[in-house]
Amino acid sequence: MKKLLLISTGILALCVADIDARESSCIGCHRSTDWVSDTSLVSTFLAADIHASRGIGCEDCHGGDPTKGFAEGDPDLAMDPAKGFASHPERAGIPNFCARCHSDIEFMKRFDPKLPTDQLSLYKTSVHGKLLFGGKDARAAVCTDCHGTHGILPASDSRSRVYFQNVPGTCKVCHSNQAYMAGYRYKGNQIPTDQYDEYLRSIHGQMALQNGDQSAPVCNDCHGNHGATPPNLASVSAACGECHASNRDYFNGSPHKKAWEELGYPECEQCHGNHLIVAATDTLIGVAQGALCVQCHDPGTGGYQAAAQMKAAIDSLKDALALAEDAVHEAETRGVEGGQARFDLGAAKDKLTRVRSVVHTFDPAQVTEITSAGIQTASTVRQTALASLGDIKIRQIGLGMALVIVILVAFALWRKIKQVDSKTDFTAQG
Amino acid sequence: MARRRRLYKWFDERVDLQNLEKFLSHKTVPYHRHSIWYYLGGMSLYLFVVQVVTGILLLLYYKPTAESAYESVQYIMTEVPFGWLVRSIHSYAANLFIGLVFIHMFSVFIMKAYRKPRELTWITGALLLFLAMGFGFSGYLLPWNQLAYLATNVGTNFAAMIPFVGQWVLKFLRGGNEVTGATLTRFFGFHVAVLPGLTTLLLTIHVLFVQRQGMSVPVSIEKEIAQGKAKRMAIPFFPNYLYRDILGWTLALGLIVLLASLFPWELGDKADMLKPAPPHIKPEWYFVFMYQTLKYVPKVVGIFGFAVAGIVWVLLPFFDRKSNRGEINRLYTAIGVAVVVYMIVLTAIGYLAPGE
Repeated sequence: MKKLLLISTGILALCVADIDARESSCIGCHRSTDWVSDTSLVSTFLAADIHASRGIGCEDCHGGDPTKGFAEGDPDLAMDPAKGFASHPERAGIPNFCARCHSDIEFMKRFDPKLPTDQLSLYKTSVHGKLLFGGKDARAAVCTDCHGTHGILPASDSRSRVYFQNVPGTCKVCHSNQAYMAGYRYKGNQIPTDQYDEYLRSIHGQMALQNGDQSAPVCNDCHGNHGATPPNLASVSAACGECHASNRDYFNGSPHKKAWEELGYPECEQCHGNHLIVAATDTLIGVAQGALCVQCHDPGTGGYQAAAQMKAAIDSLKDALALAEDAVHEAETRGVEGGQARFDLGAAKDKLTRVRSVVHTFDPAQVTEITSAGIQTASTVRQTALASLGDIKIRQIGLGMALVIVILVAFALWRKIKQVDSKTDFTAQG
Repeated sequence: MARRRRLYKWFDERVDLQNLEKFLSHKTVPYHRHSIWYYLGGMSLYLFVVQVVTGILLLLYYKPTAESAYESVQYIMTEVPFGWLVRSIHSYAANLFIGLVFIHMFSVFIMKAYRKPRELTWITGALLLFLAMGFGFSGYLLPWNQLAYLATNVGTNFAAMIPFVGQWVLKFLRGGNEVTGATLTRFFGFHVAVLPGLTTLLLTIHVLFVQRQGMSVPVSIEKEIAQGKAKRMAIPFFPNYLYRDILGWTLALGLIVLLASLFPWELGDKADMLKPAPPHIKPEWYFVFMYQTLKYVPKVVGIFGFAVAGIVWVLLPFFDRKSNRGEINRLYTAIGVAVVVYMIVLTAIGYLAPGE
C-alpha cells in the first residue's frame, strides 16, 4: 500500500513538472537542479510575486522563447537572442527596464487604471536618479534595491519591503551604512547615517512602527519615493504641511515666514528638528528655560513679550481645564453628572488643541482669543459640575426629612406595641 | 362602618376571611429572652422584597451591555427622577440583606434551631445564603465600573482553580476567557432571572417550613421550662408580633435612608480593560474573609477547604446528634462562635492590615 502511494505521488509529481515545463521552459529548467544550482528564484517568483500572480511570465521581462528548450533538453533554444532573450540588465539599465511596462499607460491600465506610470520620470528627478543617470554612479539605488527582484510584492502587502512599516528599514540598508554613504555629500556636507536611529526615537517613528498608525509618516512621506530628494529650505513646510496643514498655513501667514527666509532657516525644522521630531509640548513656547523663543528674542523685545503672553494664555487655559476636569470627574464618580458636562468639557479641550495650532501664527491676539473662549467654557462646565455636587446636599436634606417621618412612624408603632402588649397575657398563649 | 362590614362580607363569602382570621388569631410566636433573634428572618424577607421592587425599577432603564451599562446607570442616577435614590437603596439594602442573612444564620446556629425536625428549613436557609452571595457577586459587576470589573476578574479567577472543571467553570462564568461584555450580559441574566427564580422557590419552601413547624425554642429554654424554672410563654402573631416586625422594617428603612443620604452610593469610573489594576484590590466585604484566607494557604487547598466547609455547614443538622436529642451541645456552640470570630478577624485583617 505504502509502495503504491509512493509510486502514485511520483507519477503525479512528474505530471505536474511536465505541465510546467510545457507551459514555460524557463520554469522547467530553473526549477531543476540538473540545470541550475539555485532554484529559489523560481519558487520565490511563483509563490508571491505580484507579476506572477497577474500572469506576467519570465519572457515578458527577459525575452526568449518559453515554449522551447526544456523538452528538447537544450536551454539555448529558449534563451535565443534572436527571439529577444536579454537575460537581466546591468544596474544602470534597471529603471528603463522596469519602465518598459510601468511607464506604459495603456499597458498598466489593464491591471489597475489608478496605477501611476510616472515612476521613471520622478526617478530622474530624484537624487538617486541623478546620481545614476547624470553621475554615472551605479551604486545609486535602483528599482530592485527597494522592491526586490523575483519576489516583488505590492506596497499594501505587509511582507513587502515598501510596506509603510518596512520603508524605514529598506532605506536604512544604504542610509545607515557609513561605509556605503562615505562618498556622498549634500550641500557640501557629509550625509549623516543616523536618520534611522533618530526616526526610531521620534514621535513619527513611534506612531508608525510601534503603534502601526498608517497616518504617521515614514521616509517617503516627506522625501518622496521614486522622486526621493531632501526637501529644500523653502519646501519643508510643504512636506510637513501634507499632514499639519493648519500649522503650515498659520506659519506661512506669520511674520516668521519672511524672517526665516532671510535667515535661511528651514521652516518647521528650525524648532521641531527633522528625523528626531519629538512630540511637541507647551514648554517649547514662552520665555522660561528650555523655551525656543528666547533663543532669538531677547528680554524687552516685542517677540519676547509676545512669547510670554502666548505661554501665559495657554497655561491659563490648561489650569481652567484641570479645575473643570476635577469637578466633572468628582461629579461623575459620585453619580450626579450624566454626560453633558463631559461633552462641554470636550469642547473646551478642543480649544487647547486648536490654540496649539494657532500658536504658529505667533500672534498673541489670536492665541488669547481662543484661550479666552476655552477658559469661559471650562469655567461654565466647572460651575455646572459644582452645582451638581451641590445637589447632593439638597438630597441629603430631603432624606433627612424623610428620616424624621420614619422615626415618627417607628415611635407611633412602638406606642401601639406597648398598647396591645398591655392587653395581652403572654403566658396564656403557650 | 356599615360599608366596611359589607366589604368584609363580600370578600368573606368568596375567600373565607373568617378562616384566615381564626388562623391568625391562633398563631403565636415563642416569647423568651432570646426571641429577639426571631425578627431577623422577617427582616431578611423584607429586604429581599425591597430588592425586588427597587431592582424592577432599575430594570426599566438599565442596559446590560459593555457599551451602555455604565452610561445607563449614570442616566438612572442623573436623569431619572429619584433614580439616584432607588439605586442607593438597592445597593445599601443588598449589603444589609446579606449581613442580616449571615446574622440570621449564625443566630439559628447558636440556638441550634436547625435540630430535628427543622433540618430542611436549615438546608433551604443555607442555600438561600449562597444565593444571596451570588446576587451580590453578579450585581456588583452590573454598573460596569472599574472596581467592579477588576473585582469580578479576581473573583472569577478563583473558579479556575477548582480541580478538573475549573477552566470550564471559568469560561461558563465569563462567557469566554476574559471578563468582557459577554460576562456582563451573563451576570445580568443570573442576577435578574436565574437567581430570583431559584430564590423565590427556596424562599417559599423555607417560609412554608417555618409556618408549618413554628419557631424553634432554644434547648436551654426548653430545659428551664421542663425543670419548672421558667414558664412557656408566647406572643400572638397578630397583631403583637406583626407590629414588632413592621417596627423593625421601618427602622431598617430609616437606616437605609440614613446611609443613602450620608454616603450616596458612588458610580466610580467606567470599566477600562486596558487600565492596570490598582494595588490592594478587594472583593465585596462578605467575600473578604475567603479572599484573605486564600492569601495564607495554597489556593487549591483553600478553595477545596471552603467547598467542603460549605457542604458540611449545609448538612450540619445531621451531624449534631446531641442537639437532636434535646441536649445542650457546647462544642457546636464553640465551633459556631469560632467561625464567626474567624470571619470577623480575617475580614478586619483584609481591610486594616498594612499593605492590604
